[in-house]
Amino acid sequence: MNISISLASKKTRHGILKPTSNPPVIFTPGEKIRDEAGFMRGHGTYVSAGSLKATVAGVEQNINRLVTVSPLRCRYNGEIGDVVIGRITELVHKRWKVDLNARLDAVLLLTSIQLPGGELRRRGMEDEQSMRNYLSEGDLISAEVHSIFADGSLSLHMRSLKYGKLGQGVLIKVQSSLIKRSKNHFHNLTVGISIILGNNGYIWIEPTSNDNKDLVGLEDEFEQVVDIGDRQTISRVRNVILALSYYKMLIYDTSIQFALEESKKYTVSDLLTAEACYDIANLTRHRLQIMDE
Amino acid sequence: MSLVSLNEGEKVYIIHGVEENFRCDGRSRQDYRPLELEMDIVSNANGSARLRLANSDILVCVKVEIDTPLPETPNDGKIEYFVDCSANATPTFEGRGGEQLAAELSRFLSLAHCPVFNLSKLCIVSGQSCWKLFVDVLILECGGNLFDAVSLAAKAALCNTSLPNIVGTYEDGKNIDLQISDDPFDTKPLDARDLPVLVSLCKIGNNYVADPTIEEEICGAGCIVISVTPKGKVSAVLKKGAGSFMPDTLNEIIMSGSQIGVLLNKALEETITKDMSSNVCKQRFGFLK
Amino acid sequence: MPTNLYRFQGPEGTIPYQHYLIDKNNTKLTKIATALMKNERCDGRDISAHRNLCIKTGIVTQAKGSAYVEKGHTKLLCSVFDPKEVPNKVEYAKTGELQCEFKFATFSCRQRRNYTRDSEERQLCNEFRRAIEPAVCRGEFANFEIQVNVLVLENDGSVLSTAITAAGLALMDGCIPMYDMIVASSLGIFKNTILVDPTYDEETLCLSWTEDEENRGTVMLAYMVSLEQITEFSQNGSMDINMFPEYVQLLIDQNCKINKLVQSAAITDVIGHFESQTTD
Repeated sequence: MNISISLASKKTRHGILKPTSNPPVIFTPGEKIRDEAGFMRGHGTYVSAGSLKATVAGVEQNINRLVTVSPLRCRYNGEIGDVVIGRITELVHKRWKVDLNARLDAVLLLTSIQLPGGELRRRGMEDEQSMRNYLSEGDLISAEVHSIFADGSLSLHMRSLKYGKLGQGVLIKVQSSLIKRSKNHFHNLTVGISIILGNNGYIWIEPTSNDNKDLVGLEDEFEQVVDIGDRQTISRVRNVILALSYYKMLIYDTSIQFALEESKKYTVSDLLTAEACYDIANLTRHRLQIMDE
Repeated sequence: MSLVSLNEGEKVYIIHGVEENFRCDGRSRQDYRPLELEMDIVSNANGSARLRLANSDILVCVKVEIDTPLPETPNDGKIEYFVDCSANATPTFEGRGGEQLAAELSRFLSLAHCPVFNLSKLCIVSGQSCWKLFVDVLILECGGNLFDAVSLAAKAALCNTSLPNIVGTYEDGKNIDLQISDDPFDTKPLDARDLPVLVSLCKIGNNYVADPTIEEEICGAGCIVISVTPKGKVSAVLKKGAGSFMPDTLNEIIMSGSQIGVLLNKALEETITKDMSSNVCKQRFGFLK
Repeated sequence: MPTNLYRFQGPEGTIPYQHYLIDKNNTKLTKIATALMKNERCDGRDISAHRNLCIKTGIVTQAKGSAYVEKGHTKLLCSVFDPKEVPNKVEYAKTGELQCEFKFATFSCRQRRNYTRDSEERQLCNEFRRAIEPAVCRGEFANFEIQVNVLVLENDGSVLSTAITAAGLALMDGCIPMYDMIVASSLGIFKNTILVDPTYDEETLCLSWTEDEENRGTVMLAYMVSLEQITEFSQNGSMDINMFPEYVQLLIDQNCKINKLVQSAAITDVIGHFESQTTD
């Protein structure tokens, strides 16, 4: 039994870790960015009395003449090709609604998944009626953003073997801006587990499966028990990622790997304490800096 | 109650983890998440405490007022519990959403405290006037295991409460005139060290876990909340959730719940003592951390 | 029952006259207490004896099922209404829901009660719902709700356990599918003496505050006898942890006894039903 009640006054207060370079200029809502003349108004800005002003707190971004202000923290804005993790919320006519932590629920069409029986099968009424057998409310999926509708909602597809329904594992949620965009979002860590870093801020951690998964990836396997070693690693990775996200550090394979190495001196449950989180985030930042130099 | 939903795979993972005595966040079945306590943070209250258990955040304030005792118990003071589920905690509490939970929490808290708390300590003049304690519980954030967190915070706040000293009473016929010291530091502390704390044990599969997270509460078949005094006595038991228990399991759960409760009481006691001893120029942190 | 929760309930204007009786020092309770020390109860029962049960089902003709149970001076009525679709429900619910109402009639207790539900009624209602929930085959009523109402006419202790027993009968009378019959019983503990099925005065005595370390309080347990499952357990008071197995065992034994009574009542009911059909 491990019970610890600490006093708030005794706790060492750590703010967000000090940035290494000069911080960019941050605009607050209503603050003037520049004169309108010659510039185009983008997201996060409005025009008033001939000047562009910010509507959100964030940093300015320019693409040629277009001025946008991107907020420091926002819900996920999808881009085509992003790897995302989502949870099915609803079944409607020929499609699933998927929660992606975006402004609107995304859509997964029945035609954008691989059904048992191969690529070129026609989807008939039977498939439509048995949609709940493939994916039902609450199921987690990994998918790719296929297109963006006019209203900003996303359309997903799972037409690749690497995407599919997720089985046993742990989901953690972080801010979507903390996920570093990279070529590969599927990582097999050397410690024997796989993680999927969804661009929308959802991260899935599961044991690396040795045997090839069935081709469709819509089957459930619950009999298999994850062994205790993998379980410990999964929990360690979970706690480490939460520590990194608490201190607003970018999450990608290298940072996770470094943080994992730094966390070796703690037991998994010790990683829940604020001190351990700070220590790991700090050490990881140092190592990342050294690597950059 | 919550916006969290889980798929079968995640549930299976959690259930197997509990079987192996290794939970998702690395705790064993009987471990608590790190708790953080801050006392005396509201200056207008006679006693206050804020407790943070992972993502659950509870603020409890105790206000003291003067009332006339009930005719059937002329020597007893009064104590009343109010729980407010703020819509800040989760959008489901909005409007009347949190009302049922709030009613259940306040009722059970008063049931648990009632057999242990000696109300005659709150008497001023028998049959004429007594202290009335208002214990206001505010749920600021809801991250699972509210019962334990609320009871710990309530006990800490009551331990932190002090009653103003009464300098004199003058009886004028039937009327009682009280004179209360106007020095805000001329107070006597309320002895609340014997109060119980609540321990929730959630049954998952064939095992049970202490301090369940929201995810574990969803997987669980039922939950037993036990109120345990520092001496290990049980003052109230409640069942949550729609499951049922085998008699042996129930006995086992109550048994281990009381063991955990004693330790939890001890940990709280130590923290409160530490807080009292470091009283010199204490800085209030509140929410600025 | 008019329940208007929005109306402001002003302070109680009246005080029951009982507080002005000459006998102010609760000699009634002390008398019971001294008698209990000699293992005698005020109503002449043995300390381990249950009060006599009087059961009648089908008493509310408009309801799908109903039961009236009398236990000593505790008298209550329970009615069950047809499953109906959950109104204003957005999500699909795999299991049916139980809607319960637990109400004390205004005249049922010593002190007059209000129309509005107070916190005690809410708590009892919650416990009541949890006790009967596991017994009902809720999987058969996807997206439906069943209304179960309890009205206490007279309160003389052990109300909740009587109500649960009555609900079991009413559900059976209403032909709602159940996994098992459900019965409940309660104990009062006073200075280590265990009282089966306490009356109102005995309950007050058990829950009154004392300085000493002896066990006191009340325990209630709802049980499904043939499945051997405890569906609800609640306790209040101050008790030593090691006593719990004993209390639980005692309550289970009591419940087995009540279950026999309830079963025979149910059988007579069914037989009576068939007889009336054949005579028609």
